[in-house]
Amino acid sequence: MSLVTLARNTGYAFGENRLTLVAAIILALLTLCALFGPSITPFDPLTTSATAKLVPPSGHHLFGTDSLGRDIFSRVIVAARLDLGMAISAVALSFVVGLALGSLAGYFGGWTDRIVGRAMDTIMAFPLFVLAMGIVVALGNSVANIIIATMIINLPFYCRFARAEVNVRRDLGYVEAARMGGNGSLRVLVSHIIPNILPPMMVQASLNMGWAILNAAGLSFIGLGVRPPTPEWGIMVSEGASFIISGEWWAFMFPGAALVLAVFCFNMLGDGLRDLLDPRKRV
Amino acid sequence: MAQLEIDNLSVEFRTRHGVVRALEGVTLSVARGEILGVVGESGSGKSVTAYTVMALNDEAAEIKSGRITMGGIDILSAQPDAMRQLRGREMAMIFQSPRTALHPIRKVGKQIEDVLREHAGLPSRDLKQAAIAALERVRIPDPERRAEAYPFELSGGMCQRVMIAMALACSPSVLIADEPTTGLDVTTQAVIMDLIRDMSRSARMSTLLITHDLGLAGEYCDRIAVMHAGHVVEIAETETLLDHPAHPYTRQLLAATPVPESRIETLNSIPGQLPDLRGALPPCRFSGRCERRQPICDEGELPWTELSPTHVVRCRFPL
Amino acid sequence: MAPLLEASSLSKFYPVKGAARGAKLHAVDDVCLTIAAGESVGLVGESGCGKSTMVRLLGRLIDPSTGQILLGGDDITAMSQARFASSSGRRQIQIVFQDATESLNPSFRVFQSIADPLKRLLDMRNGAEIDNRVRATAALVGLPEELLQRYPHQLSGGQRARVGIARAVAVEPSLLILDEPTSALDVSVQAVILRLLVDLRERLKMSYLFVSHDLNVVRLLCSRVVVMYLGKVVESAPAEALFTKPHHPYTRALVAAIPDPARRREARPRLDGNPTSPIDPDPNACRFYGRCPVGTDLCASAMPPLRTVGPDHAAACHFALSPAGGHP
Repeated sequence: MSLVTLARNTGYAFGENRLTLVAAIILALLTLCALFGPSITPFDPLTTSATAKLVPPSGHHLFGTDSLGRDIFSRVIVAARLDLGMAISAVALSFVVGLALGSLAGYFGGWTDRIVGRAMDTIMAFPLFVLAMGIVVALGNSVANIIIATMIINLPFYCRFARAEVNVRRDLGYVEAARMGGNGSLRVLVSHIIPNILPPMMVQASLNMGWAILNAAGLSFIGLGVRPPTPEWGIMVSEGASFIISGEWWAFMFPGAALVLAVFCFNMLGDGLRDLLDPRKRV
Repeated sequence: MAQLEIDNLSVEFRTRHGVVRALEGVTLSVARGEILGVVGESGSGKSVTAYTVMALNDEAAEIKSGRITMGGIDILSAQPDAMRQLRGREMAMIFQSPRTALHPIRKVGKQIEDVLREHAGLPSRDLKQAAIAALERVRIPDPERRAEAYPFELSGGMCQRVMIAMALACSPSVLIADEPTTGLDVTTQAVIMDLIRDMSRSARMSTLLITHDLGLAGEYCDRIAVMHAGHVVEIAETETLLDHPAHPYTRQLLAATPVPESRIETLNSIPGQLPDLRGALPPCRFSGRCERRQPICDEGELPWTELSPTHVVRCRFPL
Repeated sequence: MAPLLEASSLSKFYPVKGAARGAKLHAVDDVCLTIAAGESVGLVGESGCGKSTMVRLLGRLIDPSTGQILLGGDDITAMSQARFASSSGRRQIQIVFQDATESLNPSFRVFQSIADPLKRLLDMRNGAEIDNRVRATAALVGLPEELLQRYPHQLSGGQRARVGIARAVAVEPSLLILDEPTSALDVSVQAVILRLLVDLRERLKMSYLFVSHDLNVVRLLCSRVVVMYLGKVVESAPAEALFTKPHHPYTRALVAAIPDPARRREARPRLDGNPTSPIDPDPNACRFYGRCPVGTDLCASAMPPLRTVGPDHAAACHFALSPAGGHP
């Protein structure tokens, strides 16, 4: 699709659905935070202050300060890079590997299908979050391992989806025509079938992003993965949770709200993205 | 006496891309025991007509004008509850793709019982026998066993018979058959059409047969109405229509339909395309494709010309 | 002169799950079919007769269980279907698929759909060469150039039919298999496409195997017609002879079932019931036994061979040589 058509279709999709537009704008803001976070914050997210502990939100500290006197607003902004980065990496890896395994299983069937199926069943036999915890503990506490763990537990989701979509299309006229036209099996799969399943898969990926963000944040919340003082929404919610009872609500509320906002945006964008990529809606 | 009368019906659909003037000035009537064929290509409005009679149209449909009466009852002003009563009891419809039109996970016997329970008011203990009797009437062999089958276990022809059994279970006075044999093998089609004709005659039902196949209509219908782009362009008795078509579209359609005597060199194609039903339309919607067009065809209201008491045509210059 | 395509003793069996061990579905059973160069052969039969399987066998999309197919004298069944796909023979046989089965890739523009086989089968690399060939083919099938950049959902039924034809003839095959090419089209559009097909056959000197359920259309386009029932050929004859003097009881029922306004007052014999099961059918009984209006002990104990009953006319019935409609 040319850039012009892409731009035109984007405009069309957003014109159709205001909510998608709002979600896209918010996501753009979050992306800006992720990209330029450290440069645009009013305070250094790591600087502590003994005097400014747990200061409520004010003009000076927009979101207040945490128990170590750090500015929450700055930390929330900078954390966007880590949270979004982890989620996008995990989803991208899951998507690519899941797409590859699922397509092969769906097209060739037989032993390929059985082996891939058993592998996915093994993953799904565990409660997924517990499995993620186990993987991070086994591999070691690090951001890279959070990404790997999140990728593994999301794999069956993409794999099954790709398998089903390829299976449905395998016997259609245009696939047979592609084989008549001299395309070998792998080329038929990659050049003829997969372009048609990408739109629905992108929708799934967008919806999955919200889940991936929560996953990564959840692991950090329980102390696995990201270590303090790294700003990350999950850790911040965990640190701030101890102060709910004493009334210092801003410590957990703002990072929590950031999580909610991010998940909401990705869910909203799922539909908009499908409209954008669906060739039937192309003008 | 006409059992079903449609008078000057006009229906529009509000869509994202504009208002579609699907039907305009449609006038038809079907007498008791008569089979009227409604023939047209895609976009002609034949299915919309059927759905409007059954009040099964989409929400986006708006009836702009016209009357539909069935046995004297005004359909268009009936309340939804009254319509639900009428549907199934007095009027019934059978659809294309019988296997997908039936409930996929309910036994066919039970589906017929549902219709009987709702509309015939039979006591529960008689339902099962009545359902089996309905299957017998449509000549399904071994009806007691077949009643326990699911639609996916039956062939297309069998499923269509079940649908006919359901439609006729309450002896309606009007039957609408919307492309009932499209997708069925030709031998099955012949058997199903024979069945519809026999049931129609013996129950003195008014039958509206909607089809794109002029050959099929020619064999089974008493009269045929030809539709094009939302207009009825000609209505006549079958032999008259086939031998002396008066509307240019009818003649072209006949020449385009392959019959055993056709030759590839003389097979006609109809030039041009259907007009866009959303835009401004001339009074005669065929004029853009008609070789006999005159300037007056694009002005004023398009009149009906009566060539005989049983032959009408909507054209200023009938053949 | 050697025929273009010669299929002999072609069979395709599928294992059946859940039934008795080793049970096989006889989709195509011991079929022989010959197509001469420049000939147009029709293949008719109802659902379950095996004509779709024949399309895939002759198109070399699947391998036969037994039997042989000779293309211009070369045995194309000696190699597997995958090997054939990369051989030079692949471009000789092409299929025009039914539109109803989504025969055009929704994410490909029309240009791409037509260009793809050129790149794969004719190994064309040069962009300008491909461009010229695609445009020339589009012109040949009456497809306006501005439609080349469109997607299938932006085309009408008739336009999509033309694209499917263009894609198949772009590589100039010697045999074109057409699987219900006009069944999804309005009658007025069908006429145009049928005339296009006749024209193309003469211009590109192709043979046709025309598969359709519409017997009137087959009669228009084909010089010879083959009738199949439950995986076997039951009759093969020149088109006019088949429709005017059918010899097999099934063919007679088929012809009698064609809606014919001229015969609306006649009561015609009807074929009711369903075909018997294609799973492990009795090899010693006629497949039509049980549904056939004739039907004697002989029919139940011996499979009737395909026997000559007239010039280029064969039928597989023990009573084929009796006068039409006559029973023993």
